[in-house]
Amino acid sequence: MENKITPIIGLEVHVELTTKSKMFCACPADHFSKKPNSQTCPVCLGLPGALPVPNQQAIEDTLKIGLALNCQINENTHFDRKQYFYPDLPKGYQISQYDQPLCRDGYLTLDSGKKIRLLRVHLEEDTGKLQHTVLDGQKVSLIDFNRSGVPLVEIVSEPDIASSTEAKEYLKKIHAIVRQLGVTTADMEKGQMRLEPTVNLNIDGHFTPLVELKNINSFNFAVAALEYEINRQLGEWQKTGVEKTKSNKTTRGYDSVKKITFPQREKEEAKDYRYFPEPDIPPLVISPSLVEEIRKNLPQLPEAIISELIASGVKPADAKILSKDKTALTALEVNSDLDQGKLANFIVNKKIDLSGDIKSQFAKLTQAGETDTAKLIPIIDQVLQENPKVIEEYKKGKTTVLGFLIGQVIRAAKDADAKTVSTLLVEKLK
Amino acid sequence: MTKMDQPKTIHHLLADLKAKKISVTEIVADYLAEIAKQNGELNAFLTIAAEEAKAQAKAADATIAKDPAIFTQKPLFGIPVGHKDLFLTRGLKTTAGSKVLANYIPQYSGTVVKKLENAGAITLGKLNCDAWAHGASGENSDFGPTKNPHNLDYVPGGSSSGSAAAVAADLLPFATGTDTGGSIREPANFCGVVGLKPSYGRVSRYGIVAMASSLDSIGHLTHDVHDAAAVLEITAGKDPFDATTVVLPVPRYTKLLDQPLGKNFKVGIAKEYLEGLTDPDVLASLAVAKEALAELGVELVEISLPHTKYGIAAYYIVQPAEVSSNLARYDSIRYGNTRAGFGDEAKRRIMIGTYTLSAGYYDAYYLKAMKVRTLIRRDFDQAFGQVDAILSPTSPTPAFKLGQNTNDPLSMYLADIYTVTANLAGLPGIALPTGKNKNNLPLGIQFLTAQYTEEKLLNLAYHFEKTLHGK
Amino acid sequence: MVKTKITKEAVAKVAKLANLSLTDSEIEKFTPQLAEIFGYINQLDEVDTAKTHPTAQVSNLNNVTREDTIDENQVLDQKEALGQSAKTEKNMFVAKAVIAND
Repeated sequence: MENKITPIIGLEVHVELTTKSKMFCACPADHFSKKPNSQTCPVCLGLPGALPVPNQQAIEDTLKIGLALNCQINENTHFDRKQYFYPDLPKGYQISQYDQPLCRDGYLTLDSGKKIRLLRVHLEEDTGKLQHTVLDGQKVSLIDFNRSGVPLVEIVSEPDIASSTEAKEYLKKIHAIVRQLGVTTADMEKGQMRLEPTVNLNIDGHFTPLVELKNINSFNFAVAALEYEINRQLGEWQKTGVEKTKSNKTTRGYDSVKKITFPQREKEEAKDYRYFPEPDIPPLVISPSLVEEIRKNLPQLPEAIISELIASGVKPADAKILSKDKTALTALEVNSDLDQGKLANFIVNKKIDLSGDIKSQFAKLTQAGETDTAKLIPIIDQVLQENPKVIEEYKKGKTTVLGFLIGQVIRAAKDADAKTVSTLLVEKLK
Repeated sequence: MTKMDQPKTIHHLLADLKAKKISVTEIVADYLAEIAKQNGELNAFLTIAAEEAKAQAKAADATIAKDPAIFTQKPLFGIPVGHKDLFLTRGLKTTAGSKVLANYIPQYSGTVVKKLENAGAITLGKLNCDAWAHGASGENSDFGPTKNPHNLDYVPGGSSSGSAAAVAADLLPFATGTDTGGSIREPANFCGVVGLKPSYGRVSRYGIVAMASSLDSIGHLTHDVHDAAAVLEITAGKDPFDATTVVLPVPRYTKLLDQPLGKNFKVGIAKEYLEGLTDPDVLASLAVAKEALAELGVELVEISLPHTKYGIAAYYIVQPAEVSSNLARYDSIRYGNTRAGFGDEAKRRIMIGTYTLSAGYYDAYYLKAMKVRTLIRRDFDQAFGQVDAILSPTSPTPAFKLGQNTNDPLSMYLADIYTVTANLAGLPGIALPTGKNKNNLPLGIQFLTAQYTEEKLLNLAYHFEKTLHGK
Repeated sequence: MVKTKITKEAVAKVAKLANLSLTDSEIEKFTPQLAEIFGYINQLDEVDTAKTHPTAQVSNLNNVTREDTIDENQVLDQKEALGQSAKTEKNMFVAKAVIAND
């Protein structure tokens, strides 16, 4: 008796913007490998009396991301204080966005055509970095505030993702897009893109409790953690039958060595962030003209490039490969009079030297292909005529004999493309 | 106490300096001597920067000798100032009146402190206040209350208690203060000095310990209106470090003081302010004010501010909410002592604020208060459509005795009835003395005008002062 | 409208949320005081605000932002940044251990 099991996965991605300065102050934002606490000021260190002033570039970068992900832009938007106590949070609150984020209601399309809906894309500030250690026999956290105040964009999907494979594809696409936009280098090892999946299962209409996964540092870890978690939740369900409620969401970390997820001790009480509008920052009014200007200047994104190539006749597999190759794309564009599908395929199979005369190379290859066919048909007919027993074996199901026939044809033709021969033979043998 | 009868104003000191009747060194030495004599009793100063001030004075005299035109460049050159201990002063201890910051030496100075320094003012020290500016009497300071120089058994008002007392006792020509719900205007009245609360956003809050971010106004206490105008010329203006400061140009307030009041200048008195006002001293003070206005040919009009009675409730939701958030950074990790050092009043306000912002209560409290704030603002907008300025008391009573009200937090809050609505609406206000009562305690009133109209406010105040004190 | 009951339990809960460690006697002391204050501020219930928009700030401003430039003059040097802390280690601030939640 098979259960119908559907994973329900939502992904929250945090992207560190590579602006020059921090989100609310003029400290340098590039904090990687800098001496600890050497890039702070009263604002990002949370000293008494300090006040935040938002970074215009970070706002525009967030709009870029939102527009690239097909979002609606909120004309009226503002920052809010998200309040909680933690040593890496110097003010005791994080300036973030709550009820009026910059961007909302977008989507990302997977290769299969499935649309993953995006709930929101908003802007906030990063926290300091903690290092756990033991000092004088006591467990302590050492804090470096260089990262405090760096602009962070949060991209939140709806739980439309149904497998770890889809999750990986989604993440890779987000990664490619934000890099292409030039708003971040999104270096996973530097923590410039952080992943937080939330997952539960729909088992024959019953829903297992939600689990938020933390400490996922790479796409492969995300896949492994999700796979482990899906199995674990199924096992739990079979054992306990516990279903999802409003208050039984848990947090689990991922151990990449043991390849398991493990429960993390609960934070005190349910999180009550006591959001309220940030009084130190006047609200933002995003004009339609700013949105249009940003939209106009968006670089063409991988998804769009691939769609366009496919529309012009390029095979999807070839389109995907060439979408990242600027030289190839230019070649296709410049030679738009040539059959794009064929040209793309030649380029992918390295049959064309892009630095040479593309038109003449193309001519030779297609001619060769046509000549090939015209030349080969009589040879194929001949070979088939000479090998009736082989044909019988093929028709009985021994398809491996095709190789023998191909060899015969090539020997007779003295020069032929094995693939072309094979295609023609199979056609004839039908 | 003869000093207080003829206080030295900024403009008098400048005149004497320019005429070489006195040196900066002498001025600073005189004030320091007076502080040494009186501060033990008054407890107005928490920190006295004697050596630094003397060194700066010496340097200032050398500059004046070389460059007599320095006063044009630096309009407050050589003038001593004291800062409420909420104002961060780099290298000089800043406590906010609290044990939590008892040993905090700031790594930077705020914008107003720097502007005054750049204008040539010399910091004599840091002034006592209710801890975190929570209070209206000075009694919530963790370092002992300040006393009213006119009668040492009485409070000087708060939270800018040390600022008002120091100016009143002539220990300073002027002092900075903050006003979130009346903390400049009320102590100014209790101490008989001029207290200016500029419009919200007129003066930068950067580098001043935040109490309630959408309510805090940065102002000062002086002996007279001319000085108040002179200081505002320096402190006002857009600050790139404070996103809530307004871009409007800063008028030369001192030049506009003695312009005649318009022929149809009207001053409104809200009937809601008079309901339930029974203190004979406060009523007498209002009467004196009305007489002075009549002498000036100003028309008095009865107006209505219908939502007045909800002002305190709205204020005591918005303010503690923002307080609870602004005090979250004091976790003793990067500076300061632990949160156990918070006094009772701070703890109460943190808890009220945390509660009113918490899940399930935000709509009923904080959101509701924000809506009532709109109604209060609208009341004032309508009033200023009829009148140019509003006259009102700052407190239902004159200064009260030390220890009298400390057991009842709510009754302390209720005394803010005349001051909180100006903060909710962002209006400028000025507290002016009108005389004294039988116990030698000062009495006064306040004027309010529309947001960003300080020149009108100061103009009225200047003429009012002249009429009352025959200057 | 929300009827608030300020009980000792509510006070204890709020104190925890606000990172205040209160003793039992403090909770005893504060509960009636807070109850009285809330009794007063609850009168806002009377005001009809059905058609009123909230005022979050009175700056009358919007779109106040800064250019994306670095200002080295604002950056504190490492010693200054650490200088007011009671305890530092390897040029980092020290806090009691918390649940490793990153």
